[in-house]
Amino acid sequence: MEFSDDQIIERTLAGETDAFSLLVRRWERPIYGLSLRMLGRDEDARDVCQETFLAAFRNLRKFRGDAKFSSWLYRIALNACHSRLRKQSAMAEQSIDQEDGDGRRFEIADGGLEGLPERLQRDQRAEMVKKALQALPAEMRQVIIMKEYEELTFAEIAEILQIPVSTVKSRVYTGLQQMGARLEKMRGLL
Amino acid sequence: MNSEKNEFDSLNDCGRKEDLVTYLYGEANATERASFERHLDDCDGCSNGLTDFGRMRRDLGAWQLGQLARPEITLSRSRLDLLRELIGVFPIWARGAAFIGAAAAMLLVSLSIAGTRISLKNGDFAVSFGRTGNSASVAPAVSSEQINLMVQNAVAEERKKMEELYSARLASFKDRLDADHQAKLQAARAEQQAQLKATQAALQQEMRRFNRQNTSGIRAFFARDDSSDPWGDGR
Repeated sequence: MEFSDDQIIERTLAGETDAFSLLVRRWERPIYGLSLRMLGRDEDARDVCQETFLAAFRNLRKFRGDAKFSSWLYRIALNACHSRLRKQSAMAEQSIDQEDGDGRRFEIADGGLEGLPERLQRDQRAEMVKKALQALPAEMRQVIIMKEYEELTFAEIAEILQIPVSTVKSRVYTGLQQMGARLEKMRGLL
Repeated sequence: MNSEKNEFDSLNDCGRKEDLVTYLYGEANATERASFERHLDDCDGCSNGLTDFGRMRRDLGAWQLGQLARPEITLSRSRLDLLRELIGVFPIWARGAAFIGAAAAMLLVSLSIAGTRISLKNGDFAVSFGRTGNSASVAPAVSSEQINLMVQNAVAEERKKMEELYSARLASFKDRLDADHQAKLQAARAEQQAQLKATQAALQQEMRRFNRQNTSGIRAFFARDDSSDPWGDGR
């Protein structure tokens, strides 16, 4: 029997704290994926994932239930990401040229039955996308990640970020526009 | 971005950029979709933008996170959570008792801070609040030697009082013990004398009875005729 998020929360709050592990198992990959694409480093993403679920567990009584649990969880994760990004930007100015040698590590999808030339081309495109995405301001990067990779609706993103839907659409538009310009520039350099 | 002049810079001229992304991601309803598709026939910017954004979405799709190891989440509970769980284990009466105890402890601490003095002397209970004594009695500066001396004097005085008290108690106890002992001794002596008297009386009575028996035998011996048988054996 598949329990809903709200049912699991109810059980956890009733004292069955182990039930929370069901929520962790259900949402750890989306939260990890969001964190990894926001921060670009596996270690940071894992730390944010840990912080997110720990904060959610400790503050579960504060979750009012007027929004979806996943929206609340995404919001906690994004806050943790922004906190880390602020620390990172305080240490080093982020630029696309610096990213080549600064040890950023991204997970590359397994190509499966894909041929080597296709896979290399795909990896090259993925690398360009990562760089273009990482170069975007965080407020645009997060909406594009949530839209493209987490496949959330504009309304869900608006709920998570607590901003109007029109602002979300505007940010997606501007973000895609800036990414497009940057990708064009990269292709021109190749 | 300002120096990068390219095809993306001319996309937002018509003011329908939100409609474009709504259409791009398939969230437009039938009416909105029909309206935007009519607009596309007349707007080269949106038409080109839709094509470019579509291509970019395919590029974005190139970055997929293959088979990732599961992040290990460890949920450690805060001390507050553990305390809550611990409190929850106890029945409500125990929690109430603990609450009353804590309140009493806090009251005592508050009274202590307020300078309250509670004294029990000779069975009298007295409570005084605030700083007692006049300000003149407080020395402006007291050396540690003086404090030590005061403490030693107070201890010696207290010890003397205690010694007197215990001496008096000891003396009283000894008196009581002696009186009790004397009474028991007298009782034993009286009982012993009574027994002695009874024994003497019995002995005297026995002696008188014995004497009576012996006297009658002697008399009978001297009263018999000794001429025919002087030895009494028939010879």
